[in-house]
Formats: sequence, C-alpha cells, structure tokens
Amino acid sequence: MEEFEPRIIAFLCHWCTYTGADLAGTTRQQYPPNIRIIHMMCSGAVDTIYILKALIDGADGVLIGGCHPGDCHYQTGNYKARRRVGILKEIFHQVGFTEDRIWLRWISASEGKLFADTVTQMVEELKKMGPNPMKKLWLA
Amino acid sequence: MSKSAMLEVKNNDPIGTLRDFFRDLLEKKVVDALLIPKKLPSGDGYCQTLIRNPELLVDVNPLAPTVPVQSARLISHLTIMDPGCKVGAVLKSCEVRAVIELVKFLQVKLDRLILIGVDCLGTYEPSGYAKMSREKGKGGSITGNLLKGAREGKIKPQDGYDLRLACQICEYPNPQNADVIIGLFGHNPQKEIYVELRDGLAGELAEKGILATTEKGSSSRDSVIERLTEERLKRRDEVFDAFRSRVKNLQDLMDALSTCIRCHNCMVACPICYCKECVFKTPTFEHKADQFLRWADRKGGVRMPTDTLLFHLIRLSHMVTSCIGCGLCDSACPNDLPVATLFRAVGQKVQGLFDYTPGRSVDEEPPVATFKEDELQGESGTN
Amino acid sequence: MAKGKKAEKSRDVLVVGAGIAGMQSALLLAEAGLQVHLVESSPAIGGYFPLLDKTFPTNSCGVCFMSPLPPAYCPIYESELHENIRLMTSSHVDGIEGEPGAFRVSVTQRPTFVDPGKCNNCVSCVEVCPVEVPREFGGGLEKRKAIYLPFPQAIPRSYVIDPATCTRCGECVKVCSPGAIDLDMAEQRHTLGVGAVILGLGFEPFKAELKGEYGFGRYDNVLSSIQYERMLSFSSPSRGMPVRRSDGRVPKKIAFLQCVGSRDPSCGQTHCSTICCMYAMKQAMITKERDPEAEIALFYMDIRPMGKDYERYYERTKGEYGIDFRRSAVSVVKQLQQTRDLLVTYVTEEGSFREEQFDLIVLSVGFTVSDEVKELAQVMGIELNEAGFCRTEEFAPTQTSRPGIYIGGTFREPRDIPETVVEGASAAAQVATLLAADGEKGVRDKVYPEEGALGEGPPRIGVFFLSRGHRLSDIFMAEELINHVQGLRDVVHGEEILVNAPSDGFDRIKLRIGEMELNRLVVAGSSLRTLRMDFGEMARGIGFNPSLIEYADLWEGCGLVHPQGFSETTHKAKVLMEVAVERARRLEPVKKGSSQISRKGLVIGGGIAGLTASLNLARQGHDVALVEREDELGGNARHTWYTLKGSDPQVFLRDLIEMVEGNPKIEIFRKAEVKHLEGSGGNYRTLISVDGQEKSLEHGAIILANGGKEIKPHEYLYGQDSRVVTQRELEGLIHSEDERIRDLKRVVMIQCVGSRDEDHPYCSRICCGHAVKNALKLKERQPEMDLFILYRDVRTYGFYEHAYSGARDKGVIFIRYDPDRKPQVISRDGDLTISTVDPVIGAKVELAADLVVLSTGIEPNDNRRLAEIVGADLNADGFFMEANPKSAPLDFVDRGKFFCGLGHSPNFIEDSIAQGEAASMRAGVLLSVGEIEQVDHVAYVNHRLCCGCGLCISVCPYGARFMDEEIWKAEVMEDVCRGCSSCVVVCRNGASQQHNFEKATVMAMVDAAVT
Repeated sequence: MEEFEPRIIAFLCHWCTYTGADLAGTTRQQYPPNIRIIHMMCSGAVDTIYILKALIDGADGVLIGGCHPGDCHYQTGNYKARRRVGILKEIFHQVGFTEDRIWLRWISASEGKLFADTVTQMVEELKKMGPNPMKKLWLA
Repeated sequence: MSKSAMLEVKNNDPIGTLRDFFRDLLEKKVVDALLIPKKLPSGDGYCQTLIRNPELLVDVNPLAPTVPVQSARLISHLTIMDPGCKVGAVLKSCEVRAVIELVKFLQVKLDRLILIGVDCLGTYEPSGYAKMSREKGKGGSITGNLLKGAREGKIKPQDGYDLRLACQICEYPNPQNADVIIGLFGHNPQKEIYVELRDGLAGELAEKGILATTEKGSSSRDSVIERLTEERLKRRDEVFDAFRSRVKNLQDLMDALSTCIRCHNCMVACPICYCKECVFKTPTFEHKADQFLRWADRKGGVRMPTDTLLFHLIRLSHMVTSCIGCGLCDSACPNDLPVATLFRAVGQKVQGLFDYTPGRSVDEEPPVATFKEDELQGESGTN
Repeated sequence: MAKGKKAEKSRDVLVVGAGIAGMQSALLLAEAGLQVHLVESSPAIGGYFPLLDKTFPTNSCGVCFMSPLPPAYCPIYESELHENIRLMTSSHVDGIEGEPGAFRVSVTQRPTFVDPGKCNNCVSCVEVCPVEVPREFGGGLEKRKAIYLPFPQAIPRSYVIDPATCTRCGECVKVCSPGAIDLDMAEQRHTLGVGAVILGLGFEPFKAELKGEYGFGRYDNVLSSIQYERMLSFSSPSRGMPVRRSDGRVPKKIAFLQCVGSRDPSCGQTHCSTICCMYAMKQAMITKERDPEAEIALFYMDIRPMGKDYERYYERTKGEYGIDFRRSAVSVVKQLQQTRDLLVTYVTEEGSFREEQFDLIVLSVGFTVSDEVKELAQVMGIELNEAGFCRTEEFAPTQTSRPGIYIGGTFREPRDIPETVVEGASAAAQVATLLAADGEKGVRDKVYPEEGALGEGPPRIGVFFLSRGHRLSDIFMAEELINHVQGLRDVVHGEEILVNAPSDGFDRIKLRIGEMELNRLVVAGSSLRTLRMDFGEMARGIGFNPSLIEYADLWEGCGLVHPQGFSETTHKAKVLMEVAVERARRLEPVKKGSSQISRKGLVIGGGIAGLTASLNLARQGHDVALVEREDELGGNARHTWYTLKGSDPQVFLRDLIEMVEGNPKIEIFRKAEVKHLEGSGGNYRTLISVDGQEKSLEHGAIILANGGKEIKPHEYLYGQDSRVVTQRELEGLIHSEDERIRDLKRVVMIQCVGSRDEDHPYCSRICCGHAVKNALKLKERQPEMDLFILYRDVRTYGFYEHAYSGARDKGVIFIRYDPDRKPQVISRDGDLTISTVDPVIGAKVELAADLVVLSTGIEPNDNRRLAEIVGADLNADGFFMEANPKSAPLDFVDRGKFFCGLGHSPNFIEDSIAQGEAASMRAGVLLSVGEIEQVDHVAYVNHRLCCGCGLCISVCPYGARFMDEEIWKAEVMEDVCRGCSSCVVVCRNGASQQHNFEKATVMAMVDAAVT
C-alpha cells in the first residue's frame, strides 16, 4: 500500500511566517512537499470558515502561522487568531473531531529553519494520526 | 440595588392581578407600550403582542407556558433605533438573557426599554400547547396547573405532555438583570406575588400609586429556587452526558446531523443569530455547477444540499459562546436534530474557557470580541 | 580622492553603519525623499540585531515597527526595498572632504567574490568548500566555510567569500551553476557627493578573554553573553535550548556575571554599559522559559534597569521567574577538570568569601568601540572622548565635533534599542534640517499612464513562469505543468520567461498583455520581494493595475525546498498554480485613494522637548503651532541650573526659546490648552483655547510634549522640617547661594523617594545622577563637609558612572539600604538624625545632619484628560503608551500622533532633546510625504448585510471603523484602515470584507489547495 501522505493547508501571515517560509526557501531548508501555503495578510485574518472548509473538504491538517506575541504587525491579530483557534479546537474536541489537526504556530521572518522543522514535524504527526476521515465522508 | 414589593392577589386570580398591574403600568405611563403574550383568537396558544391600548390587555397572560418566538429578536426590532417612547417587555428568564446578550452586539438598546422578567414555570412546544388546549378547552388552566407547583418549586407538566427539553434543563428558572422581576417561586400564587424593582422604578411606581415597596420579608423563595436549579442542573448533566456518549467521534456527529436539510430554521429561531442575512445565504456560498461537480468528483459524490456540517460548525463557532440555552432551535427543527443540546453541551465547555456566562451582565465582553495577551498559551505549540 | 575639486551641493545623505541607528536614520530620510547611501562594513546589514530573537522589556522582537510607514517588514528588508536607499555592504569610508551641504566622500567596496545579482543561494559552493572556521555571527559558537551566508536573513541575499580564510582552491567556482563566483573580483572605489553624514557605528562587545580570571576562551562552559544570546535563538543549532559546549548537556545551574568589561578600571573600561543588566535578565528569563528547572544566579554590583517599564521587568525576573540576584563581587572562576563544571569564588556584600559550583557561566560583556571605528573617526575628522566613544555636546546629542556629521546610537554612549531608535531619528532630524531646501521634495513624483478598463470584463488570465538561474525543466516536468495551467478555467496564456536581472522579460510580458488582451496575471517564480516591486512598477508603467497580479512561489516555496523529485514537486506546483489562478480569477482592480494631509504640526507643551520638536519641525520646512499652558515657555528646565556633565541649561534654554520665538514658521500660543481633537491618521482639526479664546487648527501631525514633574514627598519629615529639602530645591539653594547651605557640616541624601515604591513602581532614572551632581557641587564649595548618600542601587549609567566614581573619590560615602528597612529621619530636640541599617556591617547607623536631601522621582503630569481628548493611551504609571516600546518609542498607534519628553518617561535634558528631535523627524516624514496612500486591501462594507453589531469597531486596532448612527451601519475610514482584516473575520456574515481577500476568494483558494 502506498504510504499515506497528509495534505496540509497553511495560512501564513504576510509579514512573519510567510516571510519565514520564504527564508526557508532561500536558505534551502528542505521539508516535505505536503504543505500548500495560502498567503494571508495576518494570522488574525484567518476565518474559522477557512479552517473548517479545509478540514471538511479533506485536508489532513491546517497550519496557521503568525508573528510571535507582541510582534503582530497589526498590533494584536495573532492574539485574536489564538483565541479563535482556541474556540474552534474546543468545539472540535467536544464533537469528536481531532483538534490536533489544527496547528497554530508563531514563526518569525527570521525563522526559516523553524518553519521547515515545523512542517516536517507536522507531517510526521499527521502520518501517525492517519488520514482525515472527512476525506471519505461525502455526506457532509 | 433593587427594592422588594408584594402584589396582593385578588380573587385567587394571579393572572388577573398581574393584568391589573400591567394595566396600571400602561395607563400611568410607566411604559408607553407593552410587549406581552396575548392569547390567540383561536385559543390555541399565545403570541407576543405589542400593546398600546390598555383595553387589549384582557386576555394577556404574562405567565404563558409557551414561547413561539424568542422575544429578544422582537425587542431588537423595537429598540435597535430609538423607539421614541418607553417600551416594556414581559419576558421569561431565557429571553432576558438573550436581550442582555444582544445588548452587547448593539442589537438591543436598553435606554428606553423596561425589562419585566417573570419566574418561568417552563414551556410546552406550541403544537403541544395547542393540542392540550383543544383537549382541555381552556388554556388558562394549563398555566394554572403549572402554577400550582410554584410555591414548592415542584412543577408538574400536564399528564401525557413534557415541558420542552430546554426548560427541563434550564438552570435559570428566575430572571436576573430585569428592571422588574415577577416572582412566583416560594410564594402562594393564590395569595401573593413577589415583585422586585430596580431602584428608580420603585420610586416611580410608589409615586404613581401602583405599588409600594416593602421590606423583603422572609420566604422560602431563595431555597426553592436553589433546589429547583439543582434538580435542573442534575437533569442537564444527564442530558449532556447522554449527548456526549452519543457523539464521540466525527461519524457520530454526522449521524446526529444527518437529517439536516439546511432549512436554516434553527438559525431563524435563534435569538443570538442576529445577522440579517446569514453568510450561508450570501454570495460567499453561492456556488456554480462546476464547483458542485468538482466536489462530487473529489469524494466520488457529494451530498446535496452541500455544506450542512459546515453550517452547523460555523454556527457553533459564531454563536456558541453566547448561547443562552432557550432551545428554540430544537423547537424549530423539522427533523428533530439535537441542535440545542449540541449548542449547550459544547457551549458549556467553550464558555468555560473564558469564564463567560452569556446573559449574566452587559459588562461582560463576549469572548469573540476580545482576547487576552496571556491566555491559551498552549494553543501555539511549544513556542 | 580627487583633490582640489570643490564638492558640489548635494541633498544625498551618507549613512555609515547599518545597525538599528543607521537603518532608522536611513529609512526616515529615504521616506522623507532624500537619497541615502547606506554603507556597511560587514557583508550584510542589520548590525547586532539579527542576533536577537527577543528583546527586553517585551520579550518579543517588534523591530518591524521601526519603519516610518507601518505595517512593514523588518527594517533590514525595508532598507533593501526602499527605492531611495542604496546599500553598499563590505564597504568602508576612506576619505571625506568638503563642508556641510557639500561633502565628497570616497568609499571602498571590498570584493566579496560573489555577484549578488547572480547568486541563487543554492549552497553547492558551501558543500565543496574545504575551509571551516568559526562563524563570526553569534561569537564563534558555530562554524562556517570560507564561502558562506553571513546569517540566514542576510541582505544582500548572497553568499560571500572571506578572503582571509579562502584558499582559492576554486572548487566553488566549478560547482556554481549561475557562474556567480569570481575569485579575481577587484575592489571598487566610489566617490559620493553628499550633503550630510550620519555615523551609526555601533559598538564592539568587550573581549571577555581580557578578564582572564573568568576563564573565557579557556573553559568551554564559560560563554560570553553574545554567544549565549545566539544559543537562545530559535534558529541556533540547539533550537534555543541552552547547552554546555563540553558535553551538550542542558545546564541546570547557570551563573550570570555582570559588569564584565564595565565599571572596571582594571581593564580600562570605567563606564557603565547601561544595558547588560537588562539583557542578562532577559536571557535569564528566556532560559527559565526554555527550561523551568534551571537554577539561575546573577552576580552583580548594582542592578540598573532604568528605562521605561524596566523596573517591573526586574521585579518579574526576581519574583515570577525566581532568578537569584546576588550583590557580590566575583573574584575568580575555575574549571573542575573531571566534570568541566565551574567553581565561582565570590565575595558577598558583607565581605565573606564563598564558593559555588555551576554548570554554565554567562559573562555579561560590556560595550567598547572597535579599532576600526576609531580609525574611521580619524578619517572623518571627529573627536572621541576618553572612553573612545564619540564626543558630543550634552545639549546637541547627535552632533559630532565636525559640522555636517552626526551620530546616533551606541557610538555615542552605550544604550538600549529604544534610545538608539530615538537617536537614529534624531540624527535624521539634524540632516533633514540641514538639507531642507525650500520645501522641495527630493524625489520626483512619478507619473503613470491612466489605467485601462482592466478587470471589468471576464477574466483573461496570463500565466508567466519566471525562471532565474534555473530553468523550469530543471526542477519540474515543465511541459506538463504549463499544459496543466493552460487548461485551467479563464487562463488564456501560459509561458516560461527567462530572466537574469529582475527587469528582464518585462518587454515580453508587456507584449503578451497587449496581444492576448490579458486582464489578470499570475506570475510564478521567485519569491523575491524586489522582483515583485519591479513587477508592480512595470505594470503601473503600462497602465495595468498592480492589484490584478497574483504571485505564486514555485521556487523558494516549492521546487527548491522539496527533495522528493520531479513528480512530487510538479504535482505540488500544479496545485499552487490552481490556487493562484483561483485568486487571480477573482481579483478586482483596486483604485487606491489617498488623502492629503495638512503640512503643519501641532506641538503641545513648551518645555525643552516641545521647544526642540517645534524648532526642528519648523527647520525641516513645516509650519508649527506650539501650545503652552503657561504664560512662559521653558517648563521644568527653568528651574535647572547646572547639569552633571557641566553644561548650563539656562543659557541653552534662553537660546532655544529665542530661536523658537524668532522662527517665522512657528506660531506660539501661550496660556493655551487643547479642548478637542477630531480626525485621525494625519488629518486633524484641533480646537484650542488661548487665554479663553477658542481657535481651530488644522494639522497633519501632533506631538505631545507636556512633561512631568517632581514627585512631592510624603515622608522623611518633608514639609515638617525646613532642613528636609528635595534635590531640586537644593539645586535652587546652591544656585542662589542661600545662607541655609553656607555652613553645612553634614548632609545626608536619601535616594528613591517616590520611586520604586508602591505608588511609583518605576525607577525615575535621573535621581542618582541628580544626587551625585549636587553632592559634587556641595563638595566643591566645602570639601571638608561630610556627605552621605543612602541608596538602593546606584544607577549612574553610561558615562555618568565617571561622576559616581568621582564622588566616591572626593569622599562622598554611599550607604545602601533595604526597601523594607528604610532610613528614618528623626527630629529630636532640634537636631536632625537619620537612622539606617548598613547591610555591609549589618548594623544600625545613626547620622546627625544639618540637611537632609530627598532624591525625589519624576511623575508625568496628569495627562488623563488630554489623552482622552487626543485619543492616546497611557500606561499604568500615567506615561504615554507607545505603539511599540522597542522600535516605535515615540509613536502612538494612530499614524499622526507622537510624543516626547517627560510624558514618555523620566529623562535627563539631553534625552528630552533627542526625543524632541526624533519626534519632529517621525512627524516630519509624514508631513513631507504630504499624503497618505491607502493600503491595497482596505476593508469595505456591504450595507445590505451589515447588522450594526459593532464587533468590527471593537476589534479594529486603528480606530478605522465607526458606526453611521443615522442608518446604524458600520463604516470604514479608508485612510486609516491598514488592511489587517480583524473586522472582516469578526464579522459573521461577511458584511465587512477586504478587497481581493474576500471570503469567497479565500474559500476558492482553499478549495483548490485541498484538491
């Protein structure tokens, strides 16, 4: 059987994590190709709908990347993101949807290596978790 | 601070006594209009009615044991812009809490609103009530029967009928945060009705000779409410536990929601879902044919209408922190989805994250509107 | 340099040193429209900043807030991106002639042997390079090759060869596919004509090996704070975990030794380095966060957290983090041979010797000036002080001894980042003032052709794969990828274009746009920000709205980082292209509006800071309204008669007022105050009342400079006994030669009166200096007098330390007291007695005194009402709250509002001057730009959907959302909106949306990405 390759949708903030991911690229940090990046202006711009949509449509994981606390270029977007993710993960926990498929991480523009490591680690964790059951459930 | 008063019940008719009280409020301009449950001409139920002419108060029933529509929504229409006069609204505890919640979302303004909360004996589904009233012939006695248990806090529904599940597990039988509270628990409703008045209003009512305040006498009210609440909490936790053992994983959740036809009735009934037009009805969710086909392609097939699970989860994420548990979504669901229990069980945990109780106080900021710098630090992994 | 030729007038500026100060100066001047040459001696810009993951007191980074137009990238990237900044790295100045306004400077650019225009960062060269040496970045903890990237985020983004270690073996040349390496590259010499020079030369860490007794360089587990900082960075080899070099173990017991190369005549370093206490505390805190088990002790003489909110930081370090502070002197560190643990021998305050074993030792090294900088100073013809730092006049903090050459940052005196940012701005203000030429702007406004009716018809998308260095087929199945993309809906053209320089291939694309009637573009290829900027410019140049272009990272975001091979990367590339095309299909042409701003500044407060700000703003060419509450200008400085550094504040103040009063651009309103302010983001109308008359002012910026005051003491018999006075009163008595101080036998001064206590839980910074100043004055008059100073920590930072040691030399006796055993002042039978417990002897001391002087703190004026009127925030202590305490220390979040002086924090006069100048520059940039262009992605509202719930208003960090109360719908102030989408996300039904990030758009992208 072919090994399961998780699909990760990543919402990365323009100023920090997206730039950090780019730095991973320019410094040739290698990481698995399982991630598809969607460029957002701020981690606080990630609507719950996007995360849910991705997971219901069958993404195995969602990564939200933002500036470290205190570094948000829009003052407090990352704190807002954290609360939003916290609420969503609690909902998931309550309704039996694995909340560990959602990762929120603070990765700065200078942390290219951290970005690559995070993706590598997330892919490993998701492989352990197995495919998102929603991939097969057409009844959503 | 509030002041206490006692309404003396005349002719063993508590509802009539209350009617007289409201007539006074209207006639003596304590309020210029009154929103209050009024019997339908058919006698099959009640509907909230905005009354300006005191004559129309004849068959109102402030204790009506049915909630066809959540009044908080109606009050939003009446107060979102200045109504230009004082509006009184006779509400059950869950409606008052919904009003408080809507105040935070600027959908209700309290400036010209006088909230009159009544102790709630529990409510029947409107259809059940209609059937009951046709069987009995007399609606009034349905209220009367429930009222018998008010003194002890032991409320018995009519044989063969249940109170709505939301009422069975409601931990707030008595309203808080109202300008006027009509208290039934712990008193003999044939004799007296306890009234609590906000300070300024107490003065006005006394001045206008409607009701004089008294020292709060001793009564079993507090202990009756406490016991009733405890019973409800016990029942609530049973319901939650049952739900949680039913919905343990994603498949269970989908099974529980499988009969959803995305009619949006739950959303329409919900007092907290205040959007004029739900995002699920806006162009954001207008998909073209190729989109549907692409989805069908992806999983081999796709259920139509699409996005039912997304709809419920998004509604949870939008509203669950503010869910006050009126259960009207359940009443509105044509296919008996356990929407209310879902919201309440999940709500309990999510609200708990922020130590937030919806409807408790207008000063509490809704969790969706704010954040703290030092909260939820585990959510961002190790860094 | 060609001699004899007279330099021509120039409005270009040379900034030497691209650290925090230099970058701040450069960015501000560039934004104000001047051409800046930013010269840096090392191969990459940024100075010490890239070493720092987190900075105190926020323990975050936040340096991006430094840019004049937030939100912005890190200033390192912004310096590269700014069209008015020319970067010259690996370069040094070797000659200057001319005069202010017309210098000729010669600059030598050393060869790096790699062409940054060609290097594609592929790392092949590094793999083959046989030479391995310690990496300079991070103090040599890691290794690098002779060809290397200075640090990951290095700008220029190119490898460099270090000629000192390169063996010229040529292996790298063979493997370099773009042919970027040229081992015969020659140095280049440039001659620049500039009007002014700013030196942001920074510091060199003290060489810890010079303090041989601590074993640095000999013992593996003794690190310098520079090395430890690197270790704590997430990007370090240990991913931020502290480890022992001897065995890789996580240390459980760590000691920080303070004042290594500071306050230490034995190694010629007599000054205090000012920030080591803070950075050590930061490092200790982060260590605790990484490893909560760690036991940390900090050995120190005095603890000196004097900056804004630093005292609280200290309290947190002690309390919340449980760091063990030990006031003691470390005599020697020895390594235990077996374990490589370290034995610290130290003397406690009471004088007893102790020994203790630690796993790791961090030496908090001080600041020095490098030999290279000293040489440069000679070239520049500027004077240095005894410590080797730049000599400046006290009241002209950024002016060197040579007119037209200014400095900022640690080359003047050791200082922290906020002060460095302030000085960088302050130096820029001097230059802007010097070069202000008849209100003319430096850059020519560009004229773009009218935009065509693009974006209105059905999408016709052109996809261009830009290949630079690599061909598409090197990494992807190129044909399959292009075919796939051409088959996507609305894509009418797809093509690979080879580019070698960023602007290559533009002609081809322009041609295709015309031929194929393309109305949306997807540009797939390199993620280079510079390329995107060039692309946007190209589009504008042909009347194509740049918001109709979507970018996809196929190289750095896919092909170059995934080792899995063709099939995988091609599959992913297809998905990325689908995502990009989905967005492109929905892109709408955004017509960015802009708002004109009134080129006038309003300054509130006519003390030193406000006067300085007004004068500088006016000299930069802007109109200024100065509002002073009192009848007289001057503020607190009117009661200051001399300074510790020996200047005469009265002369300075008189001159300053004269210049302000004489400047035709400044209108002064005395007995005036602000009544009302409306507007935001650089467009304000303010109502002031002037002596009872109301007046309305329109202005583009506001600077709050409304000061602070001496705290009135409530203890130590102040107000009850006339022999108890404050330092400020004493200064007045000395100045007027009052008879009360004529025959003093013994004076006792008490520090921290109204500072570092419950009511004022902050350090007032100036009182230690104030006490030393007055003590020296008294001693000068009567050398035989007994003078005691009762203190908690002596905080004479920087060069003030010299005055402190001077006072000790002159016999002033310093006795420490504990805050829980405060001194008592007792008046008995007409005699004043001070009783205190001396911790050195552990016993009570009683001192009879003729005069007790209380060193009272500073508190801000009550600014609550003003803050409310102006819409500014105050911190817990009543000082103004900055947009970012680190890198925007004088800015409020609203773009046109600034502050300076004692309303910021307690400060010496020289600091207030620097702040006044800096605030004038921050404000002046805004005024000189003259208009605020809206951001690309401003929010907008669909009225039909809006319910008026107000969530958007409550979450907007900029106050850009408001309710139209007539219709109860929320609206957007587009000039103020910065496009963060907080409001968009909080809006449940999508009534608030953001241009080109509409929810439907993002959902479609998600949908494509999941496929």
